[in-house]
Amino acid sequence: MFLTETNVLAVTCKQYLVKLKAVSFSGLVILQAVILVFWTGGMGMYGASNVLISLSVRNYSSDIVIIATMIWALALAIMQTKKQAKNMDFTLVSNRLTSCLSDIGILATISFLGALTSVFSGMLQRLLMYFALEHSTIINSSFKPPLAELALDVVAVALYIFLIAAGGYLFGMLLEISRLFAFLIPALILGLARGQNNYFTDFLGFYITETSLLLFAGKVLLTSALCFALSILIYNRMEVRR
Amino acid sequence: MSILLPFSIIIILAILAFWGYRVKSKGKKPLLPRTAQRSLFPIYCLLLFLASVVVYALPDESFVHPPAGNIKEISAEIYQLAGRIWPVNTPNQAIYENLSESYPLTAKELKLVVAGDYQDMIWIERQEANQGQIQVKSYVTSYLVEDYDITSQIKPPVLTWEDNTLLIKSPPKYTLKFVSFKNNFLTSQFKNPAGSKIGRTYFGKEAIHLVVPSETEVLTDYRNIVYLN
Repeated sequence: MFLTETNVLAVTCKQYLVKLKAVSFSGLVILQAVILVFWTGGMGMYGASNVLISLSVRNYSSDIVIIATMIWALALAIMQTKKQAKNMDFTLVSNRLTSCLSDIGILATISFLGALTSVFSGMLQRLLMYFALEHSTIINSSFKPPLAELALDVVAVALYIFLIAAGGYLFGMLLEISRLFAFLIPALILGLARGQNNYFTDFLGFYITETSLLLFAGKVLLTSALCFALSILIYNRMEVRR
Repeated sequence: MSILLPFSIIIILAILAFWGYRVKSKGKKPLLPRTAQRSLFPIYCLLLFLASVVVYALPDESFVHPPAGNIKEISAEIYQLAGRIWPVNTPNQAIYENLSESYPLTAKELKLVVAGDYQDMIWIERQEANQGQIQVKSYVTSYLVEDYDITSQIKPPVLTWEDNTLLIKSPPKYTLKFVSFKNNFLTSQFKNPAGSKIGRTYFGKEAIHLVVPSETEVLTDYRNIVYLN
């Protein structure tokens, strides 16, 4: 019998709101702004020529901003598992489950906001290019993407960021068990990637060759759920306060 | 832009170094004041939203445009003729007229001089109805950059008419620079499932169509000529 009855959902929501206030998005803004201002060279260039005409095409996209946002989300996911962040949970009404669930909520939020800003940073990039370059050199077909395409971009990028954040969260939890994982896991991934291991390429292909957004979302959510479940299991086996 | 860039890089690096120094020396002091941190993200989101609105509001006329007046829609005859002589790159490829001139011919002979780097075909057609003048038209097939028609940027040949002599020169060599915005690499798997839709970039073909009176003799040492009748 308690004076105040609580449930998991209410506690998770409260923790989520407290943690959300603690997340600083200014790092993301500065990161994206610096890339937008200085990445003026574009993603690549090609040219062709004949006797009379020399033709060159410079391509721009938000790829670099998206990659930087993924790295930011990965770092933030790892930081959520750090001792300092977890100890903060004990200042609130909390248990292991609500702590992890609120972390998942935070990671989902930063994935969505990260995707939204990185995709729409492409529009800011277009505007900067429009005023920095001669308008007559811009190919209009790609300058104004359909809104449905932008929405698809946001959803797909958010799913990718969420997948990476889930992986980062599990990695952070493993680091809390042993620091050895800080070397083992990156070395394993780099080794498999460099050796073009069949299992590794099949694993990547499982996501990057999926052409249906719905199936892709299913795969990402299932993998993320697996990562988070493992993280919760690991966290449950840790000492109460380290 | 190019002068400003090195200076702005130095300024940004200096700011980052200053921030780095503050983090290292004072530890707990935030990089930005708390109020600035809170307002930065909403301001950035608002900026992105406004940028998107402005991008969609920009006038379409200020970009590269496909030229108007595909010959197929104007003259089926010329289109068929071109299709017969030029092996067209794709079915239904557009052919445009980018120059049309007419000159008075006062002699039975027409001297045709081709100078500079001009190497394209000249089609010569004799017509009964065309007495006392010659008509010169320049045709060009689509120049594509990533499937986008940029033919409007192509300069026609330079024609000079003097003493029943037609001088054809290519324009001075020029450079065309374009900027294209691509889909991001993550979402292309949903947009181009087959992975086959790569934008084509190729040069079009050019030709001059010269219509002369039926009795006229054309004197030239240029070899790339097709007599249509």
